[in-house]
Amino acid sequence: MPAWPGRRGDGEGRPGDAATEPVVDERTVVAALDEIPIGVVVALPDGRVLQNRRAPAMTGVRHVDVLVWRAAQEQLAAGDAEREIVVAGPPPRHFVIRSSRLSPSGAVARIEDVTDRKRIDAVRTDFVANLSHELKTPIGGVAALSDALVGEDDPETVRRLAGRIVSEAHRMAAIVDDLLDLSRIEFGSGDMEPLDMADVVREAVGQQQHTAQQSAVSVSVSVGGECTVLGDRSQLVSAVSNLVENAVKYSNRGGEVDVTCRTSDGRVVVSVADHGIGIAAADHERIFERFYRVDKGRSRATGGTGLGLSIVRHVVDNHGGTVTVRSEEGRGSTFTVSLPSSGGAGA
Amino acid sequence: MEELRRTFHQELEALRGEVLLLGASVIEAIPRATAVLLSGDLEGADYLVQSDDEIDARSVDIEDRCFRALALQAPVARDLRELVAIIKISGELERSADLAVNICKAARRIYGHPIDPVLRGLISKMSEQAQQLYIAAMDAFETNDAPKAAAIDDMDSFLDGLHRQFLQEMFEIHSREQIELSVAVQLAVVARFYERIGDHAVNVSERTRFLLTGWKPEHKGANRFHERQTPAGS
Repeated sequence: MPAWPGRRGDGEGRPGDAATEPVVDERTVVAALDEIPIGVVVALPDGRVLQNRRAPAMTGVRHVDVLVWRAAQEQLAAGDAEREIVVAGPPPRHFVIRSSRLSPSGAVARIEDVTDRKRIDAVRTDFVANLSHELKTPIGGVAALSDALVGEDDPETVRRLAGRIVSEAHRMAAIVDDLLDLSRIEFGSGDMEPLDMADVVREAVGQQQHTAQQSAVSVSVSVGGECTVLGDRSQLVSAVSNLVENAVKYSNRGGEVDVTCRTSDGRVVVSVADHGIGIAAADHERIFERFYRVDKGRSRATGGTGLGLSIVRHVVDNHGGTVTVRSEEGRGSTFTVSLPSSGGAGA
Repeated sequence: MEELRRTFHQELEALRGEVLLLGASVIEAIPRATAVLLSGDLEGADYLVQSDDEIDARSVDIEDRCFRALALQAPVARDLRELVAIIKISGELERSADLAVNICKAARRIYGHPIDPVLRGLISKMSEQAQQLYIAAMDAFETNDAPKAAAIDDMDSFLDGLHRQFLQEMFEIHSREQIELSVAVQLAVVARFYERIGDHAVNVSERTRFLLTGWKPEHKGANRFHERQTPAGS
């Protein structure tokens, strides 16, 4: 093992000392650069450019790679600098390119894909902002209504204001309940027992039947095969109920929601399809985040807490399943939950 | 002589790289323009409008370098076809970027007007399809894939179908008085821009076929003209 270079005696191993400078094969340098998990481009003093494998293939999407690689080339001439580039994709991606001058000449550019870090930052920032907004709105409402109530003598107005205070308080309670549910669900599932998902689906649809009738939306249920899973009944009912609630909410008046439960390749698949306003492709990735709103104005008008799909995702995760969405604006959405079948045990 | 050819082929390679970069910029501009339109992002519109100047400058530079190479190197056969194809492709790319900018300008004109969800869905699909056509066309150019270039014309018919569907949906929405006439006109023009971007992608693929095989697309109008010029029975 070589000695620690910083502890060498004076005059040993200085840069530029030809007698002590090691001669390194270019291929070895490139092989070493290849081991670095970010893109690296080095401009050598003689005009040649070395780069590791990742530099021209950051994403595997050719046009994105061309743009990023060109930006790195430009950055080499910029000296000590940092630049952020965002490409539309799809999917959109964020890159940071940092360049530094090398001594005595030459330059190096490091390309880093920071898409995931940016996404996590956005989720965290949005969560705090949305949570405070969601709670602040009803609290503000309650405060303003209470102020008005204090100086009010007319019994009819008092009753109306009190009614609105109650409804704002219920809204706050619903958000807190959902948050507590979510926090419980995040810890994992409770009592796992063999369940017929057809029963779970019927119970969930039953919970939403009243809302559906009020919105003149018809909900149909179709079941095929033996749909037995090992699961936590209350969590699964809550997940399917959330999906049906959303489907009803975002359907047009007089619309239809189709809920199906069937088996496929050893899995139990529950689909909830509506023919409502749909979800833009750009939002598909983020709709399962807490408090994420596709259309903020409309979501609040429909009275949701913004936690429903987050609950669905966590419940499905707890059961070793997957949840996917297929949606097109103006045509409707289909949410599909796929769970491992327990093969009829205890059914 | 050999040294001269090597320099020329290095320049040809560099020009291909510039075309690929221009193509990447166009492929990037299409979803950006769509995002501007669907989200009413005026800042994004300004960014794209300004970026177009750089695309114009790069396109002019490619043409100048091609003209210089034609004048100084007197290329023949595939080298000649390649330079001619690059000049043409550069023009198609520059025009496509202009169309993306036109989408942004239309977005500014209809700013504040909601777009019907059905139309939004179709705009997303048209944008996706136009981008896919360009990705395939530039891929065929980069990898010298003549069969792939030949297939792009067929892919374009799907985009043409979406364009027709969009107009039909819009007429229906307009007949229900759910869209203002001025907004409907702007959206009809926008749909036409996507359809034209697809046509430019087809032109790029045809130029690629030309440079690889010498094949030239059929020009129906020109053929009719020549038929009219030829006396009957000759």
